[in-house]
Amino acid sequence: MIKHLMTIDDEPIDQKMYRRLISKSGIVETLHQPMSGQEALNFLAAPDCPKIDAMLLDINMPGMSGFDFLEKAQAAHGNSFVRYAVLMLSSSTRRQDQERAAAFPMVQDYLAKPLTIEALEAIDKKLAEINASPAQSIS
Amino acid sequence: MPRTKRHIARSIAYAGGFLAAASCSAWFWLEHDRLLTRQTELASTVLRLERLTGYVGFIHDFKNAVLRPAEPVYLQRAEDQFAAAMQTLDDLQQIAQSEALDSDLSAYRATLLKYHDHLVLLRETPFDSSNIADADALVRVRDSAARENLDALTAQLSRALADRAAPVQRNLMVSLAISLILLTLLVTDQVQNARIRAERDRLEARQQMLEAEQRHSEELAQSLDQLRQLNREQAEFTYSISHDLKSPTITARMLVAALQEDLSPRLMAQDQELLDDLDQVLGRMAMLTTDMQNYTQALNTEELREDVSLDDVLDGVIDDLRADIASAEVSIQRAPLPSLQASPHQMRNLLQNLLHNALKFARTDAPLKIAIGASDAKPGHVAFYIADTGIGIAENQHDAIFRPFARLHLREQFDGSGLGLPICLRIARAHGGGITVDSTEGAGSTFTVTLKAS
Repeated sequence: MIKHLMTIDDEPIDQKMYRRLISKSGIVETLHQPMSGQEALNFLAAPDCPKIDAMLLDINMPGMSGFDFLEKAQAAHGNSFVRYAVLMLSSSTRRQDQERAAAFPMVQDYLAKPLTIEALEAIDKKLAEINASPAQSIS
Repeated sequence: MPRTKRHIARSIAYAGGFLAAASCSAWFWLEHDRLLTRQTELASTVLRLERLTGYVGFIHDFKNAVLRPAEPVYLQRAEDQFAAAMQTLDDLQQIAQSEALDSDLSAYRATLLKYHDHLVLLRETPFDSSNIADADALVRVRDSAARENLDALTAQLSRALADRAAPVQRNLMVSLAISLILLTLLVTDQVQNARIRAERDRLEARQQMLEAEQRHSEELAQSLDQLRQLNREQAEFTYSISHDLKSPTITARMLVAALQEDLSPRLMAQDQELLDDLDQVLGRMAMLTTDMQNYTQALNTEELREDVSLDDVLDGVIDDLRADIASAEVSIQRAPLPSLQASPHQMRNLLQNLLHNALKFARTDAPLKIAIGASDAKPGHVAFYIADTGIGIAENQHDAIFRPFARLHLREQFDGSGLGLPICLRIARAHGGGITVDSTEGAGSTFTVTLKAS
């Protein structure tokens, strides 16, 4: 069970489809859907912000890209603003994107769109493993 | 290299000739010197002979011995002088002989011997010097022949020596001149050859440089050809892809429309929403493929150029966009636009994109005003502006807006293919011009387009 999942994507239809899939999967308790990196930052900065367990992050967004968001979030909150982050790419992974992602320890996987139930379940499983052995969790 | 070989052969010839001529000169100089020495020797020997014989010599002492018999010293001195004169005569003959010249001094020798006979007589026979007749008989010896003999021989010998010296001297001059000429030739040739070699080296270096440059430019031309070919292929490929994507997209939209028509009575609201979303996404895809085609086609500079009135083009564009214009509460202020030689299709595309942008990026809190008109242009060009009172563009985004798929806004706010301005820029460049933007965020934008007049 994923308590708090955040999907950051500027495409309203994509967000709608995530919501549909996630509600059908039944393994997510609360879903947060900021439409931009800035909205996500505002959410994280709020005093009553819950602990985000997993994050699905779109890279190609206008204004603030996924990487820009990661940098800003890291600067504001360190590495602990999320347990498990997944980068979502609309095209196949480019090498320079992978190299850039290596700078962020919370980024643990890549995902090619569209999002599937299987991918969601894999994230759930990974989170369970992390919770079972806290030594491996990211500090 | 034959030139080098020829030069070496020539140098050797000049140097050898110079050495030979110089050796000859040295030899002729020595010979000339020797002959001069002989002449001096001859002159001094003749002078000695005359002294030994004449007034301070043999005959003088002999005559004193005749006049003063009581003083035997004259007798002895005459005897000594005679011996010395005879020896000098031999010396003179030796000189002549050493030069292989005839030296007949018999008359001189005979006269001297005659005097000597008289001297012997004087010594052996008591003599009374007071007897003038006897004394006179004793000292009177005919000696004119002797003098002539010596003069003739001296003249003959010195003439012979001079005759020998003359050709030697001439040869010396000639060989000196020849060696000087050869030396000059040798030096001139070396200098000239050095100059030729330097010039040749310079030419060779220049030639090599030119060849390298030519190779380089050939390589460049080849690369350019390859690039053009590649670019053309890429453009054709992109065009085909967008074209081939477009028709299934249109078909898919028709299928969605059919589904909506057939299913709408039975559809739940959320399913209806899904179908609407699908139609929206397919519409975006159709727009993207159309713009991709336009973007690729804007590269084609060979498209037929016609006389185009931008005013006419703008009429058509405004007619196309009349729905947007009506809904946007916009006032358009038009000033006359220039005419030019251009692709009518691309001019329409250009104005359509620019006007569409002006309408799209309007502010929500103020009425939109758009002004279009001609601008000043450099000779051979035309220019026009399209100014709006829309949202404007931040200074740091003035370059980004011309890059394909540069996304500055959320799709919710301003939808688009991300190719509008890149298409405009390509069209302007294909028509020998460009686009500049002057804009302040929040206060509107002015795009100025420059195009070649023909």
